[in-house]
Amino acid sequence: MANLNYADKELNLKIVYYGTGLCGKTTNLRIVFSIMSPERRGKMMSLATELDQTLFFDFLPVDLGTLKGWKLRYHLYTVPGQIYYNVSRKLVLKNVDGLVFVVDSQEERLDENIESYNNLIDNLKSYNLDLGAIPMVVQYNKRDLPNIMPISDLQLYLNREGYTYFESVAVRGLGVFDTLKSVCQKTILKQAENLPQI
Amino acid sequence: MNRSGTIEVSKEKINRLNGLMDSFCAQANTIWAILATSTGQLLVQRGFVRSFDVLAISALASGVFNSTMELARIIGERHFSEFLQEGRSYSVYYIGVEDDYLLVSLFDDRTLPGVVKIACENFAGEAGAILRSQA
Repeated sequence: MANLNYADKELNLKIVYYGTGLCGKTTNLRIVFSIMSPERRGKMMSLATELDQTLFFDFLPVDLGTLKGWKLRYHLYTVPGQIYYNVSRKLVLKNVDGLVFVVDSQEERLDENIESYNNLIDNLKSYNLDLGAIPMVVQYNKRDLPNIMPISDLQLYLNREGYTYFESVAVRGLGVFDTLKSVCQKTILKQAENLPQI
Repeated sequence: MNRSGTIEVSKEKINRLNGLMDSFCAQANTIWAILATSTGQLLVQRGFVRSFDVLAISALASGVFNSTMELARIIGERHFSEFLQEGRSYSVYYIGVEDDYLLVSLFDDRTLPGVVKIACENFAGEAGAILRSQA
């Protein structure tokens, strides 16, 4: 849920990176953190297990310019991908303003990607939301690996609605900022019409 | 919350909340206190907050608060909206303000948990009235 703070002239928006375990959600945030200048981003916080799997969430605040005099602050979150952390996943999804669905492009991960996508729909339903109401982009990650599925097949299984998608190799930073820019644009477009001029 | 699902907090409300926060910190003798949305977006802060990453604290506090609420729901408890994390040197008190906000305060042995609890409850009532008001 967006938050308009008139005193600080700030619009706060929550973007959540969703997807199955080890698909690259945390890597996306780490790349944003490492490349973005320190003046425009806060500290990255990661609540992870010893095996480096996200336990609750990763969090990174970033400032991305102004619109109509409002300073835009995006709060980037990831969810834990492992299936048994669904309560945490649902909590992080609360009051989300924009979504990135990160897909592990490897053929053997298809079922888990589909399960994660269905889980996203179920968790949104628990907040009386559906995917159509939340700006979303899809990121097909790990495109450098040998056993990946063709984009056309992935689109068929995971993006029949035709969301904007990007191919990425998040560990090398490829596609990470394209994805972020796109989801931020879509999210702010949804807010812009109701945003008063300062 | 407005019709588009956005939480809007006017400058006048923030000013009134700042005044209320001053009174709260003086009454409870806390080290710092923050008022944030239930999703961890910071509204008002008071105390020695410059020593801390308040955005990270807000996000974490929101996670702690929401997961405690979820725990309450699972065990069938509806009124679980305030709680204490008690440490040796420092403690943190959490209280929900209306449905969409959260007050988090850090204190040490210069005050008492009971005093903080009462001050938090007073703050929650008065801040709730300000946030509900049309101004």
